Amino acid sequence: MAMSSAEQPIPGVAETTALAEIERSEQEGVRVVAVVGEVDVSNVGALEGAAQGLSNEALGVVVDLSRATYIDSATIGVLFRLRRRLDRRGQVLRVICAPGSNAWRVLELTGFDRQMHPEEDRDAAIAAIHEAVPLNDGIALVNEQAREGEE
Amino acid sequence: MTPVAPGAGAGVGQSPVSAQVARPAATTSILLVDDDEHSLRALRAVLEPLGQRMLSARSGEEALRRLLREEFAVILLDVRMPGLDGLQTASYINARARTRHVPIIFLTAHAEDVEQVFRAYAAGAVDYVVKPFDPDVLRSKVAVFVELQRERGERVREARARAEAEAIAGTLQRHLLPDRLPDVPALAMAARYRPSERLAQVGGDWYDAIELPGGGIGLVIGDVVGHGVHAATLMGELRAALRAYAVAQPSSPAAVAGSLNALVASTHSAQMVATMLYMVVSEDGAHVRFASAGHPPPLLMGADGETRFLEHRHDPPLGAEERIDFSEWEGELDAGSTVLLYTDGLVERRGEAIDVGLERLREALGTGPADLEQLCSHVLDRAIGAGDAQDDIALLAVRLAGVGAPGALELDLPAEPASVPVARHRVERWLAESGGGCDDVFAIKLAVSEVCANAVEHAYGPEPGHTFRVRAERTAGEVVIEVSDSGRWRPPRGSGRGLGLGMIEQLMDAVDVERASSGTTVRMSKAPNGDEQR
Repeated sequence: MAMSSAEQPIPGVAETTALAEIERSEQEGVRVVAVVGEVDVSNVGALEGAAQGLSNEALGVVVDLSRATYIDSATIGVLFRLRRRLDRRGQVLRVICAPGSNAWRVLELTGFDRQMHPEEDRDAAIAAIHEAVPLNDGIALVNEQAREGEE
Repeated sequence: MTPVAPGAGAGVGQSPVSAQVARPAATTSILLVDDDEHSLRALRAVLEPLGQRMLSARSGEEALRRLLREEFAVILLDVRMPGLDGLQTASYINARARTRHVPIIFLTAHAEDVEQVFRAYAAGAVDYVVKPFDPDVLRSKVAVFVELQRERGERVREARARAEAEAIAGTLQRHLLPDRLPDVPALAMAARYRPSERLAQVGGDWYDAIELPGGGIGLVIGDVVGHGVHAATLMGELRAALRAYAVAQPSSPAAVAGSLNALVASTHSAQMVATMLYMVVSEDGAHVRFASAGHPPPLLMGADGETRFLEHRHDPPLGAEERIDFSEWEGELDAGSTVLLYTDGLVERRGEAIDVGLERLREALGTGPADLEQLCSHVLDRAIGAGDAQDDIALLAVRLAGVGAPGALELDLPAEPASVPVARHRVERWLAESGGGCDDVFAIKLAVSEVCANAVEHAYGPEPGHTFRVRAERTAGEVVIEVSDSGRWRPPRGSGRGLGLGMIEQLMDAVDVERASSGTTVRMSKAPNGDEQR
């Protein structure tokens, strides 16, 4: 596994595994993680890692599967986990996937698509995250009040 | 904005609407937001007869979270809640384009709230009810929004169905082509028919695949001269007659072509009416014979990607002479060979020598994707060029098990995650090389991968040195995969771990898990060409 994270990570860092290249970049306050190639149980850690270390100011994460030629249940497990983690922080996850692709099929088979409708391209995904911000502001406000209440 | 839901009755004072609400066919979701558990329970009980899915949120914040994830037909929102109150929650919902349209019914226990609620109509609310509410009134108000949501869904479905119906209408030609190709173990098939751009002209191209007595399979491609209903009708006649002759003389394409010619010559007074190529493939998918009535030659691609035309003596078209003694091409093809049968629309362009078109086709086949369906699309795209299809086109591609098809695949791999992609890629290659094709390579790859991941993750601890075994075989028209390990089967644990097993059952025709003290074996099978074909 070749890591190039020693350099400044923004914008555009790629981690290459034997099966895939995982690209990482920031766009309009959103972390974009793109998969080029295959993700399965053997390299899904690289995908999860690329979505970590988000600042509190970041609005959310886009996982771009439009160039993923293969994904498996371990990949879906990571998406579910990632969404839960972001939810707790008042941040938003969106997934990009081409209708009818292999990755799309896995999203359908696991029921992931019923919980979160995949976006068709990066602009739509980022717009959806920006659009969800008012709701998240509401959630953040309540969290803050709760914290103040505890102190 | 009026605070009354359309058709829902003007409010509490009106006579109760009947509780007999027809249960809509499609289920929608209703979001109930109240900090009081008793209220939530009461709401559920009141709305139960509507037969819809109900989700509860105990705070405005939780409601917002749910709205991020899901679509709702209507939201019932308590006004007084700790944290975000109902009005604040509504303003957040209204600030977001995707949730702005969701109707909100406010629930309030205090008369003085009503004034506030009226202000909230600007924030997207459509109605309110005062607690204690009248169950019938509340139910009928909610039913209106459920119905609206359901109608929206139905409009989308209807539009989709209309588009499908238009596509199906097509031409008479299409109805005369086979709905599906037969499912035989030794060869995989894919076909395309593309009508001429001149839509008024019904073409006379056809293809067919016939299961023969004795296990062989007959493949035909033909082109009736001319266009219009006459050509299509004649095509139907030829197709039916050929089917009858093919079954009567299952081993001789020349005899079948001769019989068909005699029939055509006697009924169409010796005029040239059609070109046709009829091919018989033996049950094992290795032995091929064909006769050609003035039809362009089949194109062969070996498993190595080399392409060549199967050149053969040029016998006359059907109907050209009263009696034609057709000759036969005969040969054995290697495992994984692909044969392409086509009509001249695929290789002829106006103002161009046919050799140029044939060469273009040869190159298109040689550079195409491995998957047979994708290969057909690729060949069609490349051969036609920029949408100038003058004539109609029929195309039938078959991949044969051939001579020397590899038998079972057996792999012993170390029980570690890196073995999972290795197993998947080896099975994929074996599927392509073992002949007989496979419509859904992805399904088998995914199932193999999931079972192997399970063997690696759960059947063993972290100690090194363990292995697991993958065996793949084509038998009785099925692809059978076995993954065995010497560990103990453990149920999936942790988040998302059950997902893989759920998928396997959807992907394969049969899945069987055998647990023994010596280890676990997962055996799964799937018909490789079971899905719909054109």
